[in-house]
Amino acid sequence: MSRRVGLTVLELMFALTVVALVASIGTATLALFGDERSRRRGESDSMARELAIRRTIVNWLENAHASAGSAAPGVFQLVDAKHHNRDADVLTFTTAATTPLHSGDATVRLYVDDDPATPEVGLTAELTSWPGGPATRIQLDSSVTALNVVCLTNLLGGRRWVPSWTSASVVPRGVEIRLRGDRNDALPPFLQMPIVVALESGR
Amino acid sequence: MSHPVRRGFMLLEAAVALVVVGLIAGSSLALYGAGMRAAAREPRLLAATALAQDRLAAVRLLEPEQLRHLPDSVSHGRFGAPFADYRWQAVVAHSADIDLYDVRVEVRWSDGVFVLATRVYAPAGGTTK
Repeated sequence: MSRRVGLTVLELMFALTVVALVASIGTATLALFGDERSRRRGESDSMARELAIRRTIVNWLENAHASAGSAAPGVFQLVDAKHHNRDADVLTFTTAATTPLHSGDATVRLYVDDDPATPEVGLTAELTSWPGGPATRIQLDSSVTALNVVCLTNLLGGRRWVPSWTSASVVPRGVEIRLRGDRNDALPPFLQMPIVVALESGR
Repeated sequence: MSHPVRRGFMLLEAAVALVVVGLIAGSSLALYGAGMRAAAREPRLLAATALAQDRLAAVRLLEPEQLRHLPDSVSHGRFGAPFADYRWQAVVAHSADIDLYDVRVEVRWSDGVFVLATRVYAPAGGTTK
């Protein structure tokens, strides 16, 4: 008979089994957190996409210029329109910002495309390189069904928001863009919020 | 009978092994938790950044006279749905002799704050820029 001074393998295995059981319950709980995390990641991915759309529009508008005070000719035009009882404004401006065209100034036309003949749906930007060239259309967000834009100006005596604008020489002081979807909650959160842009060279 | 025959692990050895495993598991869990907290904070920060930029744009639309006495609608408030749990506060400090304004926009939510600070040039009197 030998004296036992340690645990037997059997006892150790039993202890390990208990530890493993507890650990597996723990990891199952962690897996729940993991699901939560991937859901969150999906959420922040779509958030990042919406924010990129906002930033792009803001960047284009902040670099919008008309002919006055600029070496290159430009234009700024806002047409206040309704289509099927929805705001269907069209905003056209020349921008010095970098666009997917990569070639100096570009004219941006921002509008809601509901023409079934074109592949684009919803908020669309049509880019034309200056001076003239083929137009490139970029679908920004398909869930937008209405676009309402107003311009802030000091030109008419006092600060005023105006629904339309046409000038080759002056850009407005600020622009506010409101997007609408089919229903109130149809738009992604960051596109429900108005896009406000201050134009440095605006009047 | 000089040496007892060892047929198993000592309790001490098993305990040390468990402590090592526990330490490793504990620290990796802490790491995981930190990752989770950072991931939970990210959408908050993304939203707060965009909201602060929006409020900054609102400040930059103001005239110099308004910058000196911020309208209530710009100085503080709560964002509309779906950002109703975010509040903002805008503070403008003016240095007397030059037309520079220090603008500070704070966006707060339940357990955090995002601050956007910049300097705006707005010449008084002159053009309406």
